[in-house]
Amino acid sequence: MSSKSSSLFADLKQKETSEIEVMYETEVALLSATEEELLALYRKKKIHSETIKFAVSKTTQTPNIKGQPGDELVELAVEQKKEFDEHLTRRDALVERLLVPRHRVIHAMGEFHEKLTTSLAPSESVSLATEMEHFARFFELQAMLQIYADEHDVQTSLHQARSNLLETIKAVNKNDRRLAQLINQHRSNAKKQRMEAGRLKAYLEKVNASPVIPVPEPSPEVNERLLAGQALSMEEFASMLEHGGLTDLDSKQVSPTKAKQHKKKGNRKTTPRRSQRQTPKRKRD
Amino acid sequence: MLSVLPADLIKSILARRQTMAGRLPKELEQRQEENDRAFQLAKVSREELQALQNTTETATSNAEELLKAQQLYDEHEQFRRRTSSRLQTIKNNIKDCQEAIEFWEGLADGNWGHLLEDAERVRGGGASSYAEAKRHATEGSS
Repeated sequence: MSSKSSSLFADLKQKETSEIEVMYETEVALLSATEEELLALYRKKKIHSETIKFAVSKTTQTPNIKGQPGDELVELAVEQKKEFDEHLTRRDALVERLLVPRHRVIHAMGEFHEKLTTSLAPSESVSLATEMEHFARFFELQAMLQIYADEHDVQTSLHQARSNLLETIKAVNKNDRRLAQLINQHRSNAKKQRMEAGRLKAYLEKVNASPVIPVPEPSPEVNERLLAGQALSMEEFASMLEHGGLTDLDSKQVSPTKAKQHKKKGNRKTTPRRSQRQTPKRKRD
Repeated sequence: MLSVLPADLIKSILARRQTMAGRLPKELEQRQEENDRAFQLAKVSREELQALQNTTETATSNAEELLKAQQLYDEHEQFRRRTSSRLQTIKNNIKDCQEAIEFWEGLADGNWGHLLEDAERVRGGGASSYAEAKRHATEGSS
């Protein structure tokens, strides 16, 4: 134990206590700075994670960046997500209103036009009601196609907004991973600093809290009292430990005043008769 | 497709109808002839069958002849019905064509507004009839 503790503090023994105290204070200051940085990194990482979740619609809650200004990438991501949502809502409203996708509109228009204009065999017949229905459908589909053409920017802007958001989120994700690395690095630094501060503190405590107080030598009277079975004070016992004497006691020099010791009763000699077969006496005979 | 105007489509529909209407009288004539022929055949075979049935009421030896006559009559009667149906189809087509031509000619002046109600609603920002149908179906099921 003593060799271990000496190796633990080996580098400090050469130094003055005041110097070590300065070292300890510096280490504590470093540790608190590292922990503050670590806390800031944790906050940043949380915001990054929340931003990613918000961007991929895993949560509807906007990340709270009020306390962390300056992260432009996160602000951009939030802004782009809002923009993307707006485009998406606009596109969804259009789809909900028209229901039929553009390619189906074109296909159905072609079908109706063909049904209305292709010549028929005399045996085939088309009722006027069917013609009217097809005519109405054709022009409704034409109106839908026109809307799709007019609202072409809805789809284009949605694609653009999606790709922009994806790019930003990639960057946020990259930052998030970098932050995770930084956090790990800071945590290991903090651990080292905490250990060093602890070591310095322990050394200082050892140096400051254990002054060398000379222990007086035990008097022969103490030995007699001990042999007589009387109680010793802590100081007397400490002096015997420090200067020896406990092992020098001769049991033969026991004084007649020695308290009568009761001999402890020995253990019972009888042994249990386990594993012995209880045979009847007549059989044994 | 976006450049097709209602008037253009009406013209195409009318042209098709008029072409069809031009072909139909000849077709009607053919079907009429066919139907007359089928009617005659069915009539003859029915008379022959009736005659056979009257003469062979007591004689059982002519059963085979009677069966043949019955089969022939069934066949001719079936043919008559088919030609009658075809004739009726042509007559209906002629009637439909006349009605349709009158209708589309009436619209050619630009009175097609009632047929473009759905298109106008969609243009005005309303839902398409497909979306309306889906909404009705959803409401009906819930």
